[in-house]
Amino acid sequence: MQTFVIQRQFLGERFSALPELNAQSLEGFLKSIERQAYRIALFGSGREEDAHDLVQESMLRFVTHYAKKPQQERKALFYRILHNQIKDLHRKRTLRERCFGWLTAEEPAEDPLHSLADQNEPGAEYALQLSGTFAELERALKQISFRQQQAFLLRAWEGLSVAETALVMKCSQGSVKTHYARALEYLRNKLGGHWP
Amino acid sequence: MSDRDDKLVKAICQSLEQSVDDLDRVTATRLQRARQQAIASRHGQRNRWWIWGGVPLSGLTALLAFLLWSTAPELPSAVLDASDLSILSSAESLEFYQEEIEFYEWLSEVMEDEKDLSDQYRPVPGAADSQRFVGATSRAAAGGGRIAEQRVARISGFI
Repeated sequence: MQTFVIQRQFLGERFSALPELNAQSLEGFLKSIERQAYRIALFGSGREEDAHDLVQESMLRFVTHYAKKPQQERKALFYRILHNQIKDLHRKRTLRERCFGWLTAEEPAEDPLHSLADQNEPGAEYALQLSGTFAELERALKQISFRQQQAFLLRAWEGLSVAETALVMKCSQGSVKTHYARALEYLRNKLGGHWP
Repeated sequence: MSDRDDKLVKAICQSLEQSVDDLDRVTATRLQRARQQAIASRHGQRNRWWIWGGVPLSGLTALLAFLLWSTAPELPSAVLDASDLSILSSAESLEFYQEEIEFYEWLSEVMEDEKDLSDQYRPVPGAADSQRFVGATSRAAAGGGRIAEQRVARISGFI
């Protein structure tokens, strides 16, 4: 019992020695990335509830396994977790459709927050304009393959390097460049003429 | 990448940035909640380590103590026999007893037998001389006992 107490005191001192700044920077990192992650998860999953679950699970896993990683590695690591979560979701969906496709899917319980009116929403005209532009982009991104979509969003929007994107997608750097080029070609053909 | 592609990519990125800036409050609140739960779970993991790390450690310590206690050799009894006391109180050295202990044990048995035989001397049956023989018997028993004692003393002295 004495041994346990001594070890607890030692490890307690060790954990308490971690700077408070580390915990703050971890939360700051998650706060800076959560919205983009949600958007990418939404593109990958196609459903808002799934996108929320994906982001939450990714955050939990990141905090559990990679909280002590250096600042410059965190973004790639977080998106790697998110990428794997999206792939797992696709596998589960495929399996579920094969096994239980003849059953009717149950609607998930609605979050009570959804029923609350948002007082800060933009005006209807602006929302219509925005929704039209973004909706067209969204449709285009959903029509390309998952790997091309991920390569384009991570490289072009999140600013990851070719090497970091290859780490996230677990493929070669050449594959990343190929996927990115094909995605850009499709978007150019789909949007280039009249968009935005 | 051409200038046209650069402009397209920039426009797409701006649209995406705008979309996340204009996320509805419900979605923003849920994301905030998920973030706070993730941070809170990290503190919970530390506390769980204290508890679940200490339980097997305590159990292992208790098991080790039990094994050591149960396999400890028994200490010899502090109560000495009468023969041990006679050896320890004797003027002779311990090596003396270690070398010839079996002989002396046999010898002491023989002396005990002789003493018993002397004590068990029976008078010749006769009513008239019973009184005389009682005294004679007792004298003979005493003499027999003395003889056995003399033999013991002689042997002890000889040894």
